[in-house]
This record gives sequence, C-alpha cells and structure tokens, in this order.
Amino acid sequence: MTSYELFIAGQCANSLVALHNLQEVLERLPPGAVELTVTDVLSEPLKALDAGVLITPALLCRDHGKTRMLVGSMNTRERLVAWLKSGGPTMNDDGV
Amino acid sequence: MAYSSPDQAAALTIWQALFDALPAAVALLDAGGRVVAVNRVWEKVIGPFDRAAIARDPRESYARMGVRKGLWDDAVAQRLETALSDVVAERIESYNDEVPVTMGEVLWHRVGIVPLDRTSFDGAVAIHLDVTEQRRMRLELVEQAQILENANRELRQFTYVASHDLQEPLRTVVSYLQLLTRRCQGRLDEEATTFVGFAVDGARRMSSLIQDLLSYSRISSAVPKMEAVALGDCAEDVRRALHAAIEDAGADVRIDGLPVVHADPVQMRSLLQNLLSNALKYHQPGVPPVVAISARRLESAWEIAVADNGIGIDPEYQGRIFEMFTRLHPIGAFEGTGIGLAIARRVVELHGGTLRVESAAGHGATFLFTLPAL
Repeated sequence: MTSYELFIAGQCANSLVALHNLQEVLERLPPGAVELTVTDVLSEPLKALDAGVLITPALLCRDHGKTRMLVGSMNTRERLVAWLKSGGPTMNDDGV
Repeated sequence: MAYSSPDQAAALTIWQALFDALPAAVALLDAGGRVVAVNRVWEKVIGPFDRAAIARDPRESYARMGVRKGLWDDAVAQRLETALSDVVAERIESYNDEVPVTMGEVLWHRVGIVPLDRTSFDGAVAIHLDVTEQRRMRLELVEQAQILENANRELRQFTYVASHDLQEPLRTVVSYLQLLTRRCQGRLDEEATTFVGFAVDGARRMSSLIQDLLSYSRISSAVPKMEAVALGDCAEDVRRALHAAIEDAGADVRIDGLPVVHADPVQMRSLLQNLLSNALKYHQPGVPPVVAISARRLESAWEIAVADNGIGIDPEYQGRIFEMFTRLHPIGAFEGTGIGLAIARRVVELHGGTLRVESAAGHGATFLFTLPAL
C-alpha cells in the first residue's frame, strides 16, 4: 500500500489548501488503496525535521521502499494529480 | 532522508551552495517562526542550526532564541515575533528594520523578514545584515547636517540682522552728507564738493549692496510656497515688468512653450526677472538684444533655457558668475551689484533644480535651469 504523509503548518493558508485538495483526490481512490497521515509541524517540528521537511506544505510518498517528496505546489488539484500519477497508484486525470 | 533521484540531491547541493554564498545571515523559518535551515553566515553570526534546542522547547521561535542566547532583549524579540506573525498571516508584505544585537559589543543588524512564495508555501526567511558601520556613518552625517543647518540658519539670521541694522546708520550718513552739501553751498571749495560727492556715491552703492544682501537673505531663508505655476504667465509678467528696459534696448523677447511646474510663483518671477534683466543688460554694443525663453522636457524634469545674443561669458569665468557680488566688469560699466545670479541659483536650488550657463565670449549666453516635472 502507498502511504502518504502530509506536513502542514497549523491553519496556514497553503497548508489548508493542500490538505483540502489532497483529501479530495484521495477520496476518489478505492478504499484501502492509500494511507494518509497528516503531521502538523507546529506541534511536531522534530518529526518534520527528521523527515527532511523544511517547508510546508510538503507531501511524502512512501512506496515500496522509495520515498518521494512534493514541496508546495499543491494549490491546484491538477498539479497534485500530476505528481501523484508520476509515481503513485494508478489513477486517471480526474484522480480516480 | 531519501531522494527520488540523484538529480534532486545535486540540485539541493547547488541551492545550499548558493544559500551559503550570500553575504548576509539567512535562515529559513517555518510558519511557527522556528529556524529550520541556516546559511554559513548565519552559523557564524547568530549560531549553527540547533536541533537540540527545538527538542528542548518545540515552541521556541527565532525571536525567543535570540533572547536565550543574549543577542537581543525581550522588546526586540516582541517586535520580531509580531513581525513574523504579521508576515506569515499576510497582514504585512514584509518586515524591515534595524535592531541592536549584542555580540560582546552592541552591533546593529538590518533585519528583513520576507515570506516564501505565498502562492505555494507557508513560512518565511529571516535576513540579518550587519549595518553597524553604515549606521554610525549615517548618524554622523545626520549630526553634521544638523550642525551645518544650524550654522547656516545662524548665518542667514546674522546676515539679515546685520544688513537690516546697517541700513539705518547708512541712511543717516547719506542724509547728513546731502544736508552738508545744501547748507554749505558756496562755502565748500570744488575739491571738498567732489569729495562729498564721492562719499554720497559710495554710501548709495553700499546701500544697494545691503539691499541685495537682504534680498538674498530673504530668498535663502524663505520656504517656497509651492503651487502649480504656469511659467509662460510668469514670463509674460516679467516681460511687462521690464517693458521700459526692453523698449530702451530695442530688444526682442520671445517666450515659447513654457510648462506648468510645481513652484513658488513669486520666486519664479524673481528667477526669470534676474535672468531676463541680465540678458538685456549684457547685450552687444549696437546690436539689439534677442532673448528666447523656451523649455525642453527631460526624463523627470523640465529644463528652461534663457538664451541671448549678448556679449557672452568667457568659459574661464563661468564658474564664478553665480557667486555673490561677483562682477566680471568694472563698476560703472554695467549697473548692479552682481547678486542677481546668486539669487537665481538659490531659487533654483530651493526648488530642487540646478542652474548652469553655456556661453562663449562674444557669442551670447544661454542660462539653463531645471525644475522637477509635475
């Protein structure tokens, strides 16, 4: 199973947009296809640092021992879907 | 951490090298204001990235870190925290201020807090630049400027008071010399009458000098009353005021396309009158003066030209003609005390412009002054 970890900064605008867009995209996938964890760097800064996350929002994708990271650029669904498609689970252009 | 490709690791190395090469202390701050990455200058000046400090107190911001390290006090920390939170919340575009930083001695840092690209990221960048030396020099300059301003003000006041107070005894000297001439008519021999005449002429000339000194002093200390001024109308007023001199000299005065400028109308008339009077006065013997007043638009200013066909000025003397009481001709050759151009230059300077002359002896002169465009 592909696991995603989204790092956000509390209620900051770009973090909220990233969370909203990611949830919307992942909800269209079959149940159990992916796992999403959300980490707030404001309350867990060390976890972010250990993951190499310096800037939020950041999305880590862990899949079969490989780790990819998307930093920022989650303000449009299209961009998010394009990144997820480039190395993640199979989905069409609508994220389904 | 693992990277998805070697290219990504290489790119990160390049960005770190660029970050380290910056001549200012730069730190990347997360949205909570914690330092999460620093460049080499920051390591040297403020200290290395301190993961253990975040472990001890995950809520310690960069502003509070400075207090803990004794770099700045609570008041500065409060300012920086407020600035950071305002930048992150987009209440302000960015923050820029000078703050005292204690590093053995008190240094001054220009601190900038700028957001990361707001369309994509939450967080900010803090930039510290040591401006201690520049600040010291700036304060010294301000102090020097203040001393000079005070000295100038006192000098202007002295000039005004001195010239004003000199008028009265001079009037008395002239009056009594004239009274002496009248009362002693027939009793003074020819030589004594000539001497008294010289004394009266000298006193009158001194009176003119004092009057001009007063005019210069008034202009120098006056704060221009700025308004929109049609220079064309000003020039027409001046032409009317100098009607007699124009007629006497048979002069042709042309006024062409002058702009509206932001200026003091009284001072503008004084300026144009001084330049036009000069052009009429220094004409070629037997050649009627032709004076053209015109304008040319520069990038952010107007350049006004007063050009004549007069006797011109030898380039050797052009630097001196704007000095007070400078005359290039013997007293009596031309009327006046030699203060007109000094007043003209002062008026132009008070309006933020410059006054210069282009001329060659025998080939006329063009006085050019600039005024900021509206």
